[in-house]
Amino acid sequence: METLSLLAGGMSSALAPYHFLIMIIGLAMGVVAGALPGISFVNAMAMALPFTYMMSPIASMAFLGGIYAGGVFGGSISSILINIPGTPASLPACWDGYPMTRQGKSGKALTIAIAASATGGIASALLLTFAAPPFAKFALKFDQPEFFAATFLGLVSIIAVAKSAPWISFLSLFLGMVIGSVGVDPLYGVPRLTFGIAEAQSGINFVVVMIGLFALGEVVEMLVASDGAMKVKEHIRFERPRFTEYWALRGSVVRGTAIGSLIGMIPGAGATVGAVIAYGVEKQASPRGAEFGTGVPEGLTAPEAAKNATTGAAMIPLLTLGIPGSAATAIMLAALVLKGITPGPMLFSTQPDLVYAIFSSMLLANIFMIVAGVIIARGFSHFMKVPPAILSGFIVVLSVLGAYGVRNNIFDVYVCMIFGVIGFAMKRYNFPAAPLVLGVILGPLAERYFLTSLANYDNNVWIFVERPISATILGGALAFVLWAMSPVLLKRIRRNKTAAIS
Amino acid sequence: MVFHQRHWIRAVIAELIGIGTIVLGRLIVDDPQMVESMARGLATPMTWPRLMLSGAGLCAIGWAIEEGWKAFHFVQAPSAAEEAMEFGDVGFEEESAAPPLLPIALGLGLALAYAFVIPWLGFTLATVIFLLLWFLIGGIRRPVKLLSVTLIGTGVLLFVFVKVALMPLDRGTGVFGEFTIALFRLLGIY
Repeated sequence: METLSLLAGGMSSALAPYHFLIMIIGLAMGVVAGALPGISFVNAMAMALPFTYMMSPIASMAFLGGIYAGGVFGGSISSILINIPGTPASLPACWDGYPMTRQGKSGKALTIAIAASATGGIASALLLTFAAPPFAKFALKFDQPEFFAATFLGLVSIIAVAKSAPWISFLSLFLGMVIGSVGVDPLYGVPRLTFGIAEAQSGINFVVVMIGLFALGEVVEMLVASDGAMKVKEHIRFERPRFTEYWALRGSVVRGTAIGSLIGMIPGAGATVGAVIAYGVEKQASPRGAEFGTGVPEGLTAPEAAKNATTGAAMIPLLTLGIPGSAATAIMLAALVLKGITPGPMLFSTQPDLVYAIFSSMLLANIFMIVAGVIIARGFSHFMKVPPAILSGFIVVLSVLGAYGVRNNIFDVYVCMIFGVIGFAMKRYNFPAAPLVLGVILGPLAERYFLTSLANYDNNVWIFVERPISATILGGALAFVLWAMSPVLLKRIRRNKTAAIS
Repeated sequence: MVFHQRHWIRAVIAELIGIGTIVLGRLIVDDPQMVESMARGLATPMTWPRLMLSGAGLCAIGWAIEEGWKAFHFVQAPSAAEEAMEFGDVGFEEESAAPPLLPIALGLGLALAYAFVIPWLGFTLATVIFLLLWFLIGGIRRPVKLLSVTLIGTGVLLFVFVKVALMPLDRGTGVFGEFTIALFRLLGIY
């Protein structure tokens, strides 16, 4: 009952004209950015960050939440229409969505994608609304070792993203954590890895690194793109969805939503992993699994539902533990921190109005995404005409403003630009950037929790496995690593057995 | 030949990163002995960075051995497309046409130069010059389009960030600073 009354309060706050308008603008920006290949919704959120400096906390979260929900879906528009995923998470939409377009069913494919994404997103927002408060209450029992264990789970979850290349992925993660340890150490106040640069003592801000790697690293190649070359040949006509047709896909929607919600809660996994796993599971579960890849609606529905189902779920660790599980939620964390708000279990008791306004905004964003998705998909061909050079030029300028605005410090701009060059090189030579970012974000948190755990518990290194909750989370981390690595390990064992027999 | 060469290059990069971690491990703090003496328990200020650098070093060794083994056994390197898919990245559609290096290098250099001249020229002037050059490299040649997009775009950004968001953007030094202030007065945002 209390939850419902708080939700009603949050809804009235989210529906206040200013907040609602901001959310709609964010939604539209997110769908457009997601749909344009080369600009991901994370880029758009990083670009949008400086605009939140002048907003209230509720407005800024509504704005970023709108971009997040819209952007995760938006990538599917270009996947379905031109076979180029606007975001990595939209990759599975190419596999069955684009074949549908080639069969002249683009309108139907887009309708299915929008409906499935909205369903997954709404279910996930409801999960966030009703699961986060009890989890936050439970998290009040957490002390430093539990927070360290949760952060550790987030760090090792990177194995799910790149299990086929563990060395390079973990190298990237460790390098990210080294970058995260630049600056004054949290316990003794000693500057580390600063090389005499005074500005470096305040550390390398993860937002600055993210803007550099994701925004700048991506746009340089846009500079040399010939033109908006990707033309949408077909005039998009949205078929009115027949309820029976959508009802027949209910199994795929439920499976996709469940997988997305589960994956979304794991720090580090995110929409891409959720969508790809949902596609794989659906291929096994669907009676038409063998036909996947030829334009089967189930193959489009499940990953679409899954990727938007990760959005609300990913905010659970952010709001309850203060641990961002993805680049997008890290930007939301930055927006909150810049306003002096620290997410964590206490936030639910100190600022419930803000928390429920965030929940309501996510819910509304996923509902209104249907309208924004239809309008922007119809006008997609117009967006593709903006010359990439113009788009990329302004992205660079907004990157500079975004980096500068974090601490009003030109040093951050230099760092951002250097990471832009590094990001470009990493992209060009296929060195994974996602683990590095995760390391920069979670590394300092892990260090702080690790050191304070030792300081508070008489330097007892076994404290992490002596406390039941901490030990359970660490056990979960180990189980997760084994589960993620099991296909690779089994493959090797089978190969060795075959070699031994032959 | 090309395939295993790619593995060798990666193995060399991995080794360089490994050496880098050893060098960095010795430069974490200015005075390691003094810092060590500060320790009140198991962990010193150098413990965490050392652990992370050790982890990075180990992974670099693992990666170097893996790449060296592949190069030695002539394993075909994955194509850019396969690797991009592996890491859940986008852009693998354009595998066949690698973008030309010169404009990209110019673009990167320009972006770096833009950031580094802001304190001297100020945000306004630096942005106008940067956008003009960027658009020119990007193939936009029509003067009207070039100037209108640059000036209107910069004007809108100044209005939003200086007038509305009150962001203290760099105005530049000396004559450039005076120019920026005069311009802000003219635009009514000072």
